[in-house]
Amino acid sequence: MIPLPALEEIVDRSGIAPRIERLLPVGVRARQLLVRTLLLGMLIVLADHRPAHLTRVHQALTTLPEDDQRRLGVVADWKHGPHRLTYRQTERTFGLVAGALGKDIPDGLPSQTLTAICDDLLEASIPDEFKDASTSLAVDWTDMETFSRPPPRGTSDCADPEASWGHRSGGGPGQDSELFFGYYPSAATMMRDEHGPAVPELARRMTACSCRHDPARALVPVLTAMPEDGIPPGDILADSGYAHRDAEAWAVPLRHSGAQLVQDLHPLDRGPRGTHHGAIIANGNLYCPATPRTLLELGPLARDATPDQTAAHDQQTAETARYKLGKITTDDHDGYHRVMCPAAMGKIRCPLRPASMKLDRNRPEILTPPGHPPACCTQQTITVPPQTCAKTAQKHDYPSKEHRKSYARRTGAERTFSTAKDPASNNIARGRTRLMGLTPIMLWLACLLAVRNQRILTAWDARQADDARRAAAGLPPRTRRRRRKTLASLAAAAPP
Amino acid sequence: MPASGDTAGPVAGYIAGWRPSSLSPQAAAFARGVIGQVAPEGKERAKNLLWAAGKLADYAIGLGLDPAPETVLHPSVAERFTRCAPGPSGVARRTLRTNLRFIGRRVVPQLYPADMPLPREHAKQPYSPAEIAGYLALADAQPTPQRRMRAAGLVCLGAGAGLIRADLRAVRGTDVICRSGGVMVQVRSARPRAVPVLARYHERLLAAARFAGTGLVTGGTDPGRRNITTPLTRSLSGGDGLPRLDTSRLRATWLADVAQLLGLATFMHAAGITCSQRLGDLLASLEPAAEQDAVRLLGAARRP
Repeated sequence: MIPLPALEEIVDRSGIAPRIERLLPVGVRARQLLVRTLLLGMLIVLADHRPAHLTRVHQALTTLPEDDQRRLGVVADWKHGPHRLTYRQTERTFGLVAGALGKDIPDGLPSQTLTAICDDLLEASIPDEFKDASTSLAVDWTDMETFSRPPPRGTSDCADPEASWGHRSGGGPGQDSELFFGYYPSAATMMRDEHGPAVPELARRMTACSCRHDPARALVPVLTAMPEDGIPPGDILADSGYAHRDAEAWAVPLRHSGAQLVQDLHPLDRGPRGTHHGAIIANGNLYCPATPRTLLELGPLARDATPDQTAAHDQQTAETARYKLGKITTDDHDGYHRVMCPAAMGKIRCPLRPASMKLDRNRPEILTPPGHPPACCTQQTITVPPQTCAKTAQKHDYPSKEHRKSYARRTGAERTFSTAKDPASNNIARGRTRLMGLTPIMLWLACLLAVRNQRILTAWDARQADDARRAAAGLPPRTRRRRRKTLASLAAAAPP
Repeated sequence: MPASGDTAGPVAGYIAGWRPSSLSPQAAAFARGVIGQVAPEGKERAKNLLWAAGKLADYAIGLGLDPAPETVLHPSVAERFTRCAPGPSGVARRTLRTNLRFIGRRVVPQLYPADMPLPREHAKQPYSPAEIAGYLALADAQPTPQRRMRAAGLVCLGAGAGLIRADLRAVRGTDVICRSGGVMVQVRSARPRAVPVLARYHERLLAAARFAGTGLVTGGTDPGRRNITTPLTRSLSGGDGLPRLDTSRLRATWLADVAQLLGLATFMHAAGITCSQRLGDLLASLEPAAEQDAVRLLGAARRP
């Protein structure tokens, strides 16, 4: 259980309560339920693993200790004596807040005010000691069904007109994907920097949109606004669902904001995809036109790869890097940069570069150089405009060992949603909240992730204390148990 | 070598059935294909060649190369494999390279042009004792004392201490010294050392050294002049049917005499080796004997 003072500190540090309060209409008689108290009630409900219902908020507030109730305005002195908060008042204040933060004409996307409120609430849930611990973010989206029943076929009449039909991976055996009616929540989770110390995996940014909108496009303004909040851009770890978007929808704006992409490529984006001045465009880089085709068509390593397969894959990707045109300048103001022929850089031996043939044979040799050498073979360097590899260029060569190790951090995004969908604590399954519309759902989601961050911090502190205790006893930190027995080993051990 | 890819029955059968578990099927198929063209004479030879070709193909396929003989057996690929492939020991790498060059010369001869044979320089023929005596007699017959002493000094330093070129030209009279029970020549060139002189040349060399004093034994004032011994050698040729004096043959004479004293031929015969490279490697870890022992071993002890 998260103590009430900790929740109050989050709400006060975020500063969102007075900002929302200023947006609400002012009547003749003051509202008994303040926005601050309402937000506290929502956080208490989620911290206590209760469903996200307003009745539960009312119940949580009215069962606080008497002093806290008086302090928070749950019990107020009216002219006929003390008055305890009613459910109707709770519903009224929440409705006013949702109305103030929502758009005049709901379109399935959050308003700027709502986005800023959610950003500030989540940022306030991160302790100061961890704010600068990392700049890497793992992003992902998930599905969230609305409580409304979907409209009958051919109509749009339903209780939640902002919701829409979306796709999600099916949970059943053999089920590839299925339709659902609702929203796409997205979250950006703090992950450790490359070669950096471990950090608690805290949700730092979130958003949600109707399924009629692209969740990747919806998340981009949230991420690109982070530098304005004083959070420097770092690695963005994303799966192929993001990488497959048009470059203008995902990669270009993030790269322009200073972020470095570490992402899986969609199968349709992998391998050779055209040429630039004769150099082959593949997996976000330019390669020598005589690069062996099989190297350019390398895919990512399978999850169940054996150590031998991993070593062979690493050898092949290292070999591919030798054929890559090396970047010799950083991007200029317009996003242009220059790359150099690998033979001119001394990475390979090529008959078209006589000087390279003096290098020792510890390098690949181009056995059949192009009969009519293109510009990349006749010039020392070529200029690469920003539209080349705009969609697929990223921090590390894809699918190299460095990329694999860096991309492995992305799983933190999956853990974020797994904790948000845990039936033992908080859950965003249908019916867990019966409020409809994007604004109420986003408010509840922001509160849920803020509470989830507190749980992560509690577990982090416990693990640090355990590590310190074990270190004092001369023991190494406790590590996750690895699978020792596999199906293959059991089958091999079975008697004939 | 047979011109076609047909090999004798059992060898062909062995090649066709060669499927090692440690190589990928693609690499094994490549090896079977090229070794079928090589047509080795025996099963053991076929096995060695199959391994070499299979390992190379496995490496090349792993690097994304097309499993075609022109690509995989290209000298640059084979050379890179023998140098950089992880695993093989140094000996195995040399064997692999030899076998791969053998395969390449037969399967893709256009990539392995044959070397033009060049004559090999053998060691110079040593002079016989009669020839040495003839040269010394010629030295004694020179018209002036200076030339007599220099010519004798040249023959004694070459055949008695094995000195040639800069070592020979730089020897001064004071460098010939009686020490450690014998006569030594102190060499001061790029490889300074003290060389014991064979006993039968002591008297003549000491006389030549006394005559030279602090000057050069073979004459001249500047040891950097490379043709300083040319007039001497010219003067020692032509008499009694002797060929023109060759300082390299004088050194070979000294080497042969010392090897005889040490029993080197007996030792190498017993060791079963014919080349001295391994001996050179072994010597790196051995210390040379003291000067007295060297004088005794190399036949330089002064006669009582």
